[in-house]
Amino acid sequence: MSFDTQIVWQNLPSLLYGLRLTIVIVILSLFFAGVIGVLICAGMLLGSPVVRRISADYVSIFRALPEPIIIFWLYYCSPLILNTKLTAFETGAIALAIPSGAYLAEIFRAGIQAIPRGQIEAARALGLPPFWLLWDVLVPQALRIMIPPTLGIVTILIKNSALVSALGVEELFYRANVLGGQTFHYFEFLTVTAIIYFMLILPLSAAVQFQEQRLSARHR
Amino acid sequence: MVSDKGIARRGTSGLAAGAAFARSLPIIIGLGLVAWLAWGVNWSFVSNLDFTVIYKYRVALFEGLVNTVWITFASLLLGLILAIIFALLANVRYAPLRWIIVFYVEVLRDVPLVVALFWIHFALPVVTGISTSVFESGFIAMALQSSAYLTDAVRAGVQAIPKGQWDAADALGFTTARKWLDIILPQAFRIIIPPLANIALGYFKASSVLALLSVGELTTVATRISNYTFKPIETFTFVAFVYLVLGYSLSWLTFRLENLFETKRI
Amino acid sequence: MSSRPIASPSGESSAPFIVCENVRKFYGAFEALKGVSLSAARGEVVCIIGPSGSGKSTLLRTLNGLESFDDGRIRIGDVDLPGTHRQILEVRREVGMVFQSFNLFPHMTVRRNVALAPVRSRGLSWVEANGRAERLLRRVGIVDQIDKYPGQLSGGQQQRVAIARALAVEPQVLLFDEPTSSLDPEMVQEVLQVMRELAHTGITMLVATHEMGFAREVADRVGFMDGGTLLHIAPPREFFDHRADKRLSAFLSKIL
Repeated sequence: MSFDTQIVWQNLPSLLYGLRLTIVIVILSLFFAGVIGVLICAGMLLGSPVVRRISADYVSIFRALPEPIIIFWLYYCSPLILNTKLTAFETGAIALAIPSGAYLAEIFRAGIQAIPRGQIEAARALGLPPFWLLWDVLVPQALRIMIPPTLGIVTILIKNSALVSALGVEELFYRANVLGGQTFHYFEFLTVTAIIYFMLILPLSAAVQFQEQRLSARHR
Repeated sequence: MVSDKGIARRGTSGLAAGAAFARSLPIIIGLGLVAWLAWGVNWSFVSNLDFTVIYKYRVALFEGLVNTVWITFASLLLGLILAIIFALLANVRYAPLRWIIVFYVEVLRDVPLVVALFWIHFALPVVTGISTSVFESGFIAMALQSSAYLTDAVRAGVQAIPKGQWDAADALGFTTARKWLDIILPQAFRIIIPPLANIALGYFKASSVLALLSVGELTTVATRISNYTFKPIETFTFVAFVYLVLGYSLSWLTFRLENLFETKRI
Repeated sequence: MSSRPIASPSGESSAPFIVCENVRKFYGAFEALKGVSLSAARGEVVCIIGPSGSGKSTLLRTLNGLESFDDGRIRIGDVDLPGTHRQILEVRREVGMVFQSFNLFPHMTVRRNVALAPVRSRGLSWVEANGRAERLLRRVGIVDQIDKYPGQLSGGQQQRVAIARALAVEPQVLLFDEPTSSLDPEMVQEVLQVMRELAHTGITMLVATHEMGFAREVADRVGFMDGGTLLHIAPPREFFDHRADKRLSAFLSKIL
């Protein structure tokens, strides 16, 4: 066995093109997931009993469903159901956003509810206008709580983005398989791809672990 | 007095109207979204629904489910054994060994399961010269990756045991092996049951990823049926339902299990 | 006291600054305030004692609009509650509050905690507000902790910061909701000392408390609440020595 660096170098541009698409789809679905998360979180906290129920069900259902099932369901079923045909890329981005939105909604809800009631009361008693109450008191405290788990969601999203290769979205993992198949150098391309994912996720997961340790140390 | 109350009521009703509007905003947005989606739907698919395919392929679906449960259970068992070994080795004084374990855990946590799966199936044989079946590759990938998460859980469980327990074991003159088997690990297990249950649930879900290599578990079966019958809506909706029901039952079960251990401790 | 009074009575006006008449408050079917009437003149210090759950806190919280009420009338200065959103903000500028659990903002330094409200609701610049924060913190004796975060301070120090924070918007009235109840015993006195000094500056104070010594020494009048009713209110000497009400004398004999 030998690691053929030559062939990796030759095809590196193709792999990096895939990496670019991975990053694009992650950012796009993260944005959609954020929108879903805010709406569902608002529904859970402010909605009427029916809306609360629906929002809570959304969260528990899409957290429990395997991501491949959501991806395949949308990919195979959407052409039969929708008037418009979604591209593989669109399907992948939506399918990734749906469960991430459920996780984010739960993170937002927990972050907001973790702020003690006394904080809001103190701000109101000081006569802070509503905007400044949000900006100075609620948002900074909620963000501090939400950032580590949100970074965790981003790492999960990056990992799950490899799944949309099954739909033919030409992201990093898809490219690796195609190049491996064409050249019969699976070992080189899959190893390099694994290293790229590792380098992409390591800083994020290290940041999460660091933040969590700091938070739990402060609570002790 | 009366006029004051009138003013008061008007004031609060103005606020209440604002609050009611704020509260109904998600509903309005939600209804808008639903309407927009409904408008884009070609409703004729409803008349074509035919859930008899589920009955027709019940045996295949059941076999897929058995494979899912089996591969989840077996790989987690191996993962747990590996994790205990790694957690023990992480306490060894020899630093390079500890670094290797930290590196192993971090690499497996930070590489997507599909990538690990394909690497094991297509790349590893190049190194070892032994090719594995898709099922074996899936089993190895899940066992290795779960062992990384489980190592963390076991290590946290061991660290959560009060120092007094270690001192007591030492004071009683236990050998290292006795100390671990009789004192430390039994207590650690109680602590790690909740994270263990979470990881188990996660891998029950994640086993569906193996469908990308057509390992033959439930999602693979669903894909095959849907491709063969052209009935994806029925098949995937049913399979999603199975995952949900089983996932919920599993989490309910672990919840009961946790409670059982809680009461036993007191 | 060497420090400058923050709010001094601008000429004795005969009309009381705070007026509650027959205030009633329900939580569902539970009646927390059963028609409470209370008034306080400018510069007056009124202590309210009573068992927990008697409605002391609820009464104080209706006075700055933190809690709505269902019947009766509250007038602060020349604003009637419940007013418009704007009027409530106005009342809150006149009526500061100190909480049992301090409620300092944990993500801001002590300086920022005190300077925030003057900037955000009074339109001061940060430079002015920081100067004011420094003066107030010197007055409550913790100017040396000014750049620390609340989590780094003791309970007594935190409560003194909270008092400085409430003073920073230059209110006419300060409400104290059991300010020493969650403090360790050795820290109670440092907070009471600050409150004692404050009482001489001419600011109007309403204090819900269990500190009988403080009430006897500092209050102009002491009130006793039980079961959502203000049963008795009198100057301290009369209040403690005559024990006009049966429930009051039962409560006092338990606590003294």
